[in-house]
Amino acid sequence: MTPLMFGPPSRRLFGLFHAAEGARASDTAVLLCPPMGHEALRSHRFYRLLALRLSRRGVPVLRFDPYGTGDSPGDDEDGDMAGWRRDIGEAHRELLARSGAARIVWFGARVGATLALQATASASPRVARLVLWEPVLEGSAYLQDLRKKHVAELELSHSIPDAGWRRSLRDDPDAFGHEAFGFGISELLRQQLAALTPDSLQLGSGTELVVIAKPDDATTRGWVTAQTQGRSARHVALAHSLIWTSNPHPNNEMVPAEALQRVMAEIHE
Amino acid sequence: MNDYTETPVLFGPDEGLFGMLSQPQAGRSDVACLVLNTGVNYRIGPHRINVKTARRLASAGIPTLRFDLSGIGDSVAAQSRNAFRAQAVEDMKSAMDFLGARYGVRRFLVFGICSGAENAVALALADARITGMLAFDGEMYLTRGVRLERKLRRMAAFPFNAAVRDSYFWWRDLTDWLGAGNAAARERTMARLGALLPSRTPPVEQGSIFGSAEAPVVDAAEYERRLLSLADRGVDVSLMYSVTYNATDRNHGMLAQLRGSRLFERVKYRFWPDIDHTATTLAMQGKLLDAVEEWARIAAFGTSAKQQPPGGGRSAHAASRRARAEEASVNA
Repeated sequence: MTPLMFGPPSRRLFGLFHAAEGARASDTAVLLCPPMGHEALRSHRFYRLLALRLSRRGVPVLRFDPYGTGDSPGDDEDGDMAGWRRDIGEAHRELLARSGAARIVWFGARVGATLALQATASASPRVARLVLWEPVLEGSAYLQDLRKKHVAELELSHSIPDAGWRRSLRDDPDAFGHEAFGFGISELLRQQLAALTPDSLQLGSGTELVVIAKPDDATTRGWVTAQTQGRSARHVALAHSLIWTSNPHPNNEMVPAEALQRVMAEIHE
Repeated sequence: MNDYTETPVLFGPDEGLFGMLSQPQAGRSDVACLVLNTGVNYRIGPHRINVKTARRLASAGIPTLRFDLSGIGDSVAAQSRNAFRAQAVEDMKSAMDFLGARYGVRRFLVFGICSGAENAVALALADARITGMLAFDGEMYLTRGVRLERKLRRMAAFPFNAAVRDSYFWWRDLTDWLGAGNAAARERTMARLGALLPSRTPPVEQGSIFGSAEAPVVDAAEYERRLLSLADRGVDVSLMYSVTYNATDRNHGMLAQLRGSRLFERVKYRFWPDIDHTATTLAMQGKLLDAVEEWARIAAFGTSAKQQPPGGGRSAHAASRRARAEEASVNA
């Protein structure tokens, strides 16, 4: 594992490059795009184990933090979708330079999956395969869910919660809109997320798409079906026990084995 | 333009430990701060609070290393057979060794939340290089009176506060059973009712932040002795508690078993009625960051003033001791 800072001086990014181990070097390299906010913190372990396992199979991997997230420079409020898409492109070039791979696969979860999908069109050379795990396709529903869970988290962390929080959540659509789980959300990012709809998200040609989603997620299943027109797109149903917005308590697994195996298989088999 | 730089670093045995070092742009310092993991959250901390803390302290002139203990985040698991706490202390010492060898740092501050607070205490006890220690939501030594008062407050809120009601599993199961006909909820409710029969063993009293039955590592008297030993050594000891376990605090309630102890003349104790266990909102984070920076400035430089006094080393350390003595008398 090699820690690195890359990208232009005005927008440096933190990354961890996992070189291929052993003699079975693959011609494929993998870029891992993280979710945002608490979901990124929650899934850090999953991403680390995924990177370690891929590298042990001879696949070089780059993990990175988009600007204003994780270990990268920038504050929470500096993050926005357009900038993060450019960051993915920057990481793509860094991975190519470091790995020398002929074939690049991107993996992303939640908002990281959505960003990867959007960034694919401008990636050069093109992305061979895009593996998305529970992409955020309906931004307004995602924001609403974050508001609810933010309040639930606050209630959990107070001996006597403020009864007004639930009222604000119910009566004031702007309440709790600019932060979630302690991560700031700029007005620009909020607007960009709110504008996300399944119809606004389209896969370009030339990239194989694999979408992993909960079996009961009809929206994602329908969206994948729509993407199959003239393209290679596949839906994979996966039930798992990881709760994206939970804290790492024993009530749900840090890295569900079935999810790790399935994601591994979709990336590199 | 930031007034700090950030560098990823690998250190420790076989360079198996990973962290991010935030350093002031200008000048060197003989004092640095360690920011510890909270639970199994990796080095950025819950809500990225460790990143924000490290940047604040580096901007204040204090190099700060936030890193992952063995087996957490991106640090590899230790090959030793140490228990968790012993390994944590070894890892923290490795961090200090690294900063000492690479940057000439001789004195260290340490800040931790929850399990990080307990590790901070363990490190301060184990290594004389620690001259300042801030433990946020570390060990609690409650009395029956404090627990009873907490229960009464929650009972008083119960009829009027849906969030309080929902915090009880038994209430959720009861309403799920009676309201929605949930069979599993009915089963759990009946089991609870059965457990109330007189022949059953009473439940263990709950005392930790999240109500688990985990007992502190040592009893209150030993904890007092340990903290006093730190104060005697000149360590700036600051104990802070959040509103998560109890909504209010009177007379050092989170350490109620030690009420009346001379400990409170020697260490700083502060209860935050407006900050929860991991500073979940940005407003809470702002308050916590201000408090951590103020503590660190005093522990490092002997003054909470924004400008670092000229010169470091012994004179600054002596000023730090004087400021701590003055603060302790104010808090007492």
